[in-house]
Amino acid sequence: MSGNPLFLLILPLAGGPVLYLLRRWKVVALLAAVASLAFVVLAWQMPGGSVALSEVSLTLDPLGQATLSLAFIAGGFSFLAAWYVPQGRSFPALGLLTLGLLAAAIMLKQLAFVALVVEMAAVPAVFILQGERHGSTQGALRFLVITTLALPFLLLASWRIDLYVANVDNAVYLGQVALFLGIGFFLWFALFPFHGWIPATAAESPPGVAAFIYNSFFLVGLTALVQTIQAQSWLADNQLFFRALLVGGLMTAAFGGIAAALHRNLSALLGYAALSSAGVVLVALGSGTQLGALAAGLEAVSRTLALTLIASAVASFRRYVPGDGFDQLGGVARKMPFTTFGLLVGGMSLAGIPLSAGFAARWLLFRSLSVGDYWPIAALFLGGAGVALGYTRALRASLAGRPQETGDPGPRREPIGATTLIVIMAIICLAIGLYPQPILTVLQQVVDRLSFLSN
Amino acid sequence: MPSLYEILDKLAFLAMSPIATALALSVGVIVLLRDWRVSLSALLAQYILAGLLLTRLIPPEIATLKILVGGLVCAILYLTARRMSTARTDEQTPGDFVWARKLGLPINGDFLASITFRLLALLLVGMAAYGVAQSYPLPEVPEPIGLACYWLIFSGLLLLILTGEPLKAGQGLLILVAGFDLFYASIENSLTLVGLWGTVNLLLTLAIAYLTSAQHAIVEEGR
Repeated sequence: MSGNPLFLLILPLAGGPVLYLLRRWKVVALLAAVASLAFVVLAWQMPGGSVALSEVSLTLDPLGQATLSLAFIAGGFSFLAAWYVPQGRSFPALGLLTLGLLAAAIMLKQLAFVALVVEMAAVPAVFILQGERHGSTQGALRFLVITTLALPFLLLASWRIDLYVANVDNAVYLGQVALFLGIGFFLWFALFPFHGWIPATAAESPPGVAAFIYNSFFLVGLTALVQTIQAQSWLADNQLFFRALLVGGLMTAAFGGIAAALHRNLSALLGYAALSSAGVVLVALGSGTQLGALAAGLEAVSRTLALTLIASAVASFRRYVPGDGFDQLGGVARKMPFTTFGLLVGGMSLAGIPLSAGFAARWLLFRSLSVGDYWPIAALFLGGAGVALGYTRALRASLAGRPQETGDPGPRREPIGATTLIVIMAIICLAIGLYPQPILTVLQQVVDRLSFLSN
Repeated sequence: MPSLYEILDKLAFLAMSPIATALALSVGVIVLLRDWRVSLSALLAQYILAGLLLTRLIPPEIATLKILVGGLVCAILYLTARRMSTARTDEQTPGDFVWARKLGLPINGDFLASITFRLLALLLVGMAAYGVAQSYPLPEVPEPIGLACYWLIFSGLLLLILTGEPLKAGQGLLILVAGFDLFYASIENSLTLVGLWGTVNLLLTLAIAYLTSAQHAIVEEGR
């Protein structure tokens, strides 16, 4: 059983609907978490290989294994956090279903099928983003629209790739493929200026769900991008494509940081910090070097953990304070010190502050950039400083004043389960920052197989 | 400035393809009118006409399948919209025109302003679609179908820009996807992809219906 990659998508796809039928029970979140973490072990222990199904083949390679493991780890932590602080009754079940579809997208190698399967995964994602909430539907609708808009561009890119492979003399296809891929992936990654759904979902959806969607869809998009470049070696020679990734990433990193510094609530901060960090990953990948790809991988890992950590902390806050606006956080740090610590560690990691996981990635990234590339470094610093400023203001707001009374006073102390999970995630974030070597060793094995990267 | 003859000459493609013209009109109706019964009927007409156009490019069986998927999409949206409208039947706008109210037509000052604006926007989009179709003609498809693709895609985008209401914006998204499909179906003949494309359309509709219901719940709660 452990040798067939099909199980990594069949089990979550079958488990999701079963858990959906049981969604009224809170323990479903725990079951989804256990299942998700079991899939990590399964993905990691699988020897890899291919399965052919009609016109498509599913392949599990080291890149897919690493991405799937990370996505399932993030899913597991998110579901576990949702067990302590519920994020919508259907989140664990439909979240697992979404992960199953995204696992299929990771293992598929043909871009057209990947794009269609990701679009299918966007549908359960819409259900969990909206939840049972009867409020504005703008966040979920924008997510659906932007994801769907990416689909035609990626399908066109796939078609043009096939044409180019059939007729390598026609150089016109090269530019068109790069253009379609660029627009398609920019939409998928929600890079500036297509980022509209990120702040909207951050504001409207439960924080755990928002972070889960940011993480899982970003990881799949990143894998699809790397696999496409790897499969089409001629694309690696297209400097314009890499330049576009670099510029798009820089603009997103800087914009996300500036917006994070200007907003005054934790949800918006989560969204813009996620945006800024996504920009950093693409800058690292856009450098086109092995060191840059290593930095992109490490940033993706630290970002995934940090977003899950911050979302868990914000979800905990929301239970005990009337809202997550800075003016409503007064004194919450004294009431919930460990949760505040977790929020701070996650925020500092996204900002790339020393000792955090994000710093190790930024350090590698700065080393990968050419000497004299002052603008990229300045833009990345701006993004990081903005996120750091945002979380510093959040800390200041949570330390100042007195705790506000809410209609539901809740327990006097921090809830043990949720807080333990937050502390564990914070420790992992700090451990990666202090000693990233084990993660880097795994990432190096993945990067070594990517032939399009220069030394 | 082109002469009248030149303009008529350029519009000759309308006569060449009455189906493409009817397709363009049906989409125009969706953009212009807010009434869900009219716009869903026009959406159904759009799927049927697009399917008929596709019979010239792909095997009729696959074109029929696409019409069936379109019919299912409209059925899902119809059931959702009907549920929503039941809760709104007694809504009256104070500025209703008396003559229109007597005739049971939802016409008032807001309606006229909105339809004028939408008509102008639609004209601009039509010109843009025509210009793009001339400058960047789609390969592998005849000119009228290429123009119809651009028209559907641009109209869908216009609808997405004009409204944040899930049902209407969802129709915009479906029109856009149908416009792309008109082109993509002619260049891609993989049966697996056709199947996945139909599934994506149906799932997309489910998401739109769900968001419409969520919006409807707000209306009900606010009453």
